[in-house]
Amino acid sequence: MSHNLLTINTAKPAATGVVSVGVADLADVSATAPTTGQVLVYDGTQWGPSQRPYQTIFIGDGAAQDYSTSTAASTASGAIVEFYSASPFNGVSGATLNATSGWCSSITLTTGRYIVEAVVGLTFSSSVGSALYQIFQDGIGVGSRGSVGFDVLRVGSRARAVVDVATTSTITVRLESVGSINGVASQGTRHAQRSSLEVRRV
Amino acid sequence: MTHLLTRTSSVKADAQGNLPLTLSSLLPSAPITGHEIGVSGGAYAAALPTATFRARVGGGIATVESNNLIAVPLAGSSYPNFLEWGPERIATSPRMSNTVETGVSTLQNLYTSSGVFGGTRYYCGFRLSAAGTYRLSMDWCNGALTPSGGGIDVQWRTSTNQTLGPVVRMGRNDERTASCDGYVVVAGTTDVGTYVVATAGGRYNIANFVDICITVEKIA
Repeated sequence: MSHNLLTINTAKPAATGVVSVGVADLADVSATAPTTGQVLVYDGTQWGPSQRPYQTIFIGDGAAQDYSTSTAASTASGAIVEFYSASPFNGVSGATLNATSGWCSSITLTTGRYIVEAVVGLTFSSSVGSALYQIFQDGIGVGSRGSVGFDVLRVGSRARAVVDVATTSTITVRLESVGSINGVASQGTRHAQRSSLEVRRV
Repeated sequence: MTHLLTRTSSVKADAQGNLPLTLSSLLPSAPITGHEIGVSGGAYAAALPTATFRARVGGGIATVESNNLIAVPLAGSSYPNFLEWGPERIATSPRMSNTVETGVSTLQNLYTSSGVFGGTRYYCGFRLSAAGTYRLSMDWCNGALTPSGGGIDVQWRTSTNQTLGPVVRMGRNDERTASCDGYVVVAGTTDVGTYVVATAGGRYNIANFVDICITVEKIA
């Protein structure tokens, strides 16, 4: 007796006659290997792996957490700003939040284009105190700057950037042009309560 | 030797015994560009992604509103501090429009009997009844009756007081129209609104309904 020589595209029968067919064996499926989190999308000709259309990271749950509990070393110009969330939302495939005790100091992103927005709520020792802040990609400032001042009404300005990542990039938010800002130990809870960091894959 | 006259769905084996099976042939209908494979009616089917949609409250006409010293909460003891965003309608006059999506409805305070036109109704929140992850966003400000520097601090929360984003001060319209954002993961029916954390010198007074836009996006 011979077994049936039926094949399904590139999938051939084993000695037992069983043809093990995977999705990639199907004639209209791309040979491109998928990565975690991707879905199959039809491009008009064939099916291929693609990122989900809406992926976001959101850090900032409004908790009254003192900035002194962060790992931030300084609030001087150039210092990295950390963002607090006990349960940050991370829906971006391949992204890593670099956080300690709920304080996120940076985000590592993989290949793709992203919009990053940040609001900083750090405090000042004088009514004329203020600071600018900007998104940084691998240590280089990108996009427009946000500003924060003494009064609560001066909290809410957004730093915003479009970030293209070729392989991986580290995203941080850094202070600039700082005046009369409180040190880390005396910052209080305003920043954790009123700040946010959002990343959207586009 | 002969091979069997095998076929799968509408795909038949050719003379060499190859079954040129395609993923599209396994689906109940032909896909178009941008389709993903999901489940519909208990079977896999291709469809455009449905993970994103936007329900909206906002925009509109008219000016001048109440002069309350505190923000008006959504009626009912379960929601003691959800900010009343603004009116869908005052008596017979439409004020703020809305678009709704399956699984998202608005929570409202009703001030007069519903009648033919639905009565005076103010929006206060959303009821999310479809499981998933939602992005919440409110652009809002106080009117001119709020003194300079005053505002209302709000934060997206669930009706069980789960905090969903940062606290944001909504200032006077000529000083600060702000955006308040949040995220919520919903397993069952969940009510969300912008909780009034503090009035901070602000008065509940809407300058112009076109300054208001509140959106819900289902993102996963």
